[in-house]
Amino acid sequence: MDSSEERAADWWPRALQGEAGAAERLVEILYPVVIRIVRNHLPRGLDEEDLAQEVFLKLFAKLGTFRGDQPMEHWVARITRNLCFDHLRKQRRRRELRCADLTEEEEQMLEVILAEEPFHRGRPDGLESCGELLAKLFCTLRPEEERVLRMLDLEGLPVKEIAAVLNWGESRIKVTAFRARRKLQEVLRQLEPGVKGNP
Amino acid sequence: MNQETERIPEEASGIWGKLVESHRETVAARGAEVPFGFALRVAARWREDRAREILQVWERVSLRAAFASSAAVLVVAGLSVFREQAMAAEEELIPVMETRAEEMEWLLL
Repeated sequence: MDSSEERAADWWPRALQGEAGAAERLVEILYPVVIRIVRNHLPRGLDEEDLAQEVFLKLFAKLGTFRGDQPMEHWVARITRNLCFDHLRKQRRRRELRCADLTEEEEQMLEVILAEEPFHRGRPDGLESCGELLAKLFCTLRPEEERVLRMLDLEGLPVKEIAAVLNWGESRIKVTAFRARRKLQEVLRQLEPGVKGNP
Repeated sequence: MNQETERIPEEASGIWGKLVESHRETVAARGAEVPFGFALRVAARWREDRAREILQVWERVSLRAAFASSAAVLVVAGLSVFREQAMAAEEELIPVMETRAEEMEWLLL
């Protein structure tokens, strides 16, 4: 149990009892956990702060159901991921991506990445563009593949932890990730000439 | 885990790997400080929602209590009407007897 966990565990009963300032303190402690997941699972067209607020309101509404038998961070992460995936599921429509579907900014970003330069440098809006492009790419995958890759590649969770979250075997996680990455490489390879062909 | 799946790399590679790396760097560059006023705003919204929920519960409880009390009043009113009618009928059946002899005579009949 780390210090932030200890503090969250200290504050949640006080927030439930309606103690002044306890809810605010709990938000401050849990914000880094929530925002990290939100940024890695951000649906298109949604503002990260709005989604984080929605997550916190859901967390507070469910605060009475938290039994304290697991670290609060895990409980918070599970609720955050589920809410993000609910939004992502609602957005799922098409499963094909062509170069014409990319915005000028996304094409530019891909071009920069293909030239092996880090995209974010000097670009404060990098997260939105990167998130939009990733969301378009993830639409070419099956929902469970997207879920695995978002946790494994974007969040950087170890396979063991993802296996525990999804209640899957580690082999299944690895095979799903392998197939999903292969599909994405293929989509990106198809996009490459179009992107490079632009002036 | 079999040998084949063990050989699958856990890290992303190729163009996808570069895109992932860019995303991670962008996320890390943004930091995780709570935006100004965010905690206050969330806590205020939560308190509003909570107060609304409590109000809704009270409304439901008071509605039920009002329904139960009006039902009870109706039952009591009905019972008292019934009792009055029964008593009136009894009065007709049992005549008023002033003496013990009259009562005995009525009983023997």
